[in-house]
Amino acid sequence: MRKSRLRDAEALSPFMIGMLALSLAILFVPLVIIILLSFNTSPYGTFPFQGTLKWYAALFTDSGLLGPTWLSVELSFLVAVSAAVFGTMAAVWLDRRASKIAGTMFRAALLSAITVPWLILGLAMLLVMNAIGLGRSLFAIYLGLLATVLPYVVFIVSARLNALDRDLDFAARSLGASPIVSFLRVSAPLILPSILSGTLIAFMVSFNNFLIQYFLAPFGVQTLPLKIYTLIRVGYLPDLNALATLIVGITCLLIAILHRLGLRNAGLPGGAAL
Amino acid sequence: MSNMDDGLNITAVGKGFGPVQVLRDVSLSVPRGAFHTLLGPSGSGKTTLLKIVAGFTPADSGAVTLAGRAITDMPPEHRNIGVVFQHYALFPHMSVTENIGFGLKMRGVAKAERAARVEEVLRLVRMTGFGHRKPAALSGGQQQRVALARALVIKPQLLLLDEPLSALDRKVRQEVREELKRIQAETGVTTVMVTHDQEEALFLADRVLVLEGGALRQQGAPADIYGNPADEFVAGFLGAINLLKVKAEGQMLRLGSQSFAPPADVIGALACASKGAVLHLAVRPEQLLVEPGEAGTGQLGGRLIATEFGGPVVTLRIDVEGQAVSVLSLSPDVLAAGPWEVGMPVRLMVRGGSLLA
Repeated sequence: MRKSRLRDAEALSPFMIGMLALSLAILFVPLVIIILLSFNTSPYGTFPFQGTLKWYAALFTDSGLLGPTWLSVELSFLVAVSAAVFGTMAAVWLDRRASKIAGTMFRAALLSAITVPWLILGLAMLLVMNAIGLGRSLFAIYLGLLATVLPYVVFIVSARLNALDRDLDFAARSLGASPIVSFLRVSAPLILPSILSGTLIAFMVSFNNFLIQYFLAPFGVQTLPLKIYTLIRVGYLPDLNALATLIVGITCLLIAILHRLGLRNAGLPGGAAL
Repeated sequence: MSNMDDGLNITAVGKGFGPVQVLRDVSLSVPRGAFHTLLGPSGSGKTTLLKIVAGFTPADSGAVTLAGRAITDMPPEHRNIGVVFQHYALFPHMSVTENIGFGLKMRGVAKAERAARVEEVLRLVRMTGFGHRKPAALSGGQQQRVALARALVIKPQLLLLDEPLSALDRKVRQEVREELKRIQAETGVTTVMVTHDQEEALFLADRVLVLEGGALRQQGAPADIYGNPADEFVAGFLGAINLLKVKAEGQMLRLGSQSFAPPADVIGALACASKGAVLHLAVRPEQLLVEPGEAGTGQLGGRLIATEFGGPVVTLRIDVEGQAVSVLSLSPDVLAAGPWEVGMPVRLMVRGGSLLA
């Protein structure tokens, strides 16, 4: 009786299939349209569809999009790598050394960095940057993005560290390894997948983050999100569609890599950041 | 006693976690080559003591020496102590060979010698041919053998075993237990094992140390501890026991309205007890003999409450003077000696035991 009811609950009703289809459509139809338009000759999104690669050619020659794209990629790469280093250090500290009170406070602070709206964070960061004399600058963006993505790395890595058997470290120590050697030879290889997952997520969150960049960018410096924002206000050419298509492709690749790294085992809560 | 300096010496070690005192001035010595077991219930402080000896936890007070060296404040990597953990703690990303070779690598042993020593210790634990496997591809018993090999290959001055058998199935546990005994005897390594399983402790150790509430309650040879427990706790912790509340009455013991002859073991102790003193006679179930029928002079009478068949042993539950229900296990032959009927009178002969104040 109970079992059959459970099966009913698990089976997809027509209504649920409909809802699922609708949600997926809302997510993916715009993407598909952008991809199609990037190959369409007409710059105004009009039919008939005539295939072309000229927008891709334009993207790489005279669109003015590549500069902001590279800036964003470089910036996010730097942010992600820094977050991996500092985030892993913080996670190890949380797991091994932090007192109960300090650990709880640090976790709460990190959690609030995720839950406080970026709008507020960005505004607050601008105030702080001005107060400490950094003002709007590339270094300010770097710091702001780093603070924004750090919690993701810390939570993902510390979830994995937490699941590690403490005795592994004890075993290594008793066999003659110093604390650092024990970490490098035993713990580090075992948490590496989670560090890589955290780094990739940090990269994506940083790359995407319009608000922090908007508040902290110096005048005249345009990251990709800021550039797209400007273009949308003044009208744009389908070379942007071509760029968007490339980014979607690269994102899919990254997600595939994340999956191969065993993201589900890395302890990411619900894969929410994706 | 000259070899005491070669072994492990623990002097007045104390340890507290916050307000909880886990170890209270524990002192003990393990001579070189001996196999001692720290036996106690969970929360007795036995694992904490092991961690202090291994260097994983600092002691609040006291001193630890190993082979004449003071190691109290030495980091674990300098102690040369092999540790085997309850859940094996094999490095999952390394093969069996790499796991075992880890300690040698840390000691800078050259590759060729390392391979030879790993091979040798694999033979010792009867795991030859498993070197290329990852721990996940091994059974629990095999993993614990590898863990033992990993701890032994560094030729430690002391081998610590932290509940090494508790994660294993019953059948495998007995197998590994025998292997452990053989390997310890073969290598002659000084060994301290922590366990809560009294059967394991009695089987393996040449000396059992009973720990409770952070203090040593009794230590001695297994047969000694089992046969002559020092107090009620030790008596109850090492297997089933009957604690009969008795009064000293000259050369006899009185239980309620009955007067009976004490077993030979306790006559000496009884002579020291003052007349009328209330004592506990601790009797192992197998030290009692039971027959159907009323009690004669100097025998103890009671009524049968139940017979419980348990394979190789049979337990008879008997009520003596309404006092504590006593237990009795014997070979199944006793059932044939019946007829046993619940409620029938039986007589008990006490063949051994010890007196507790």
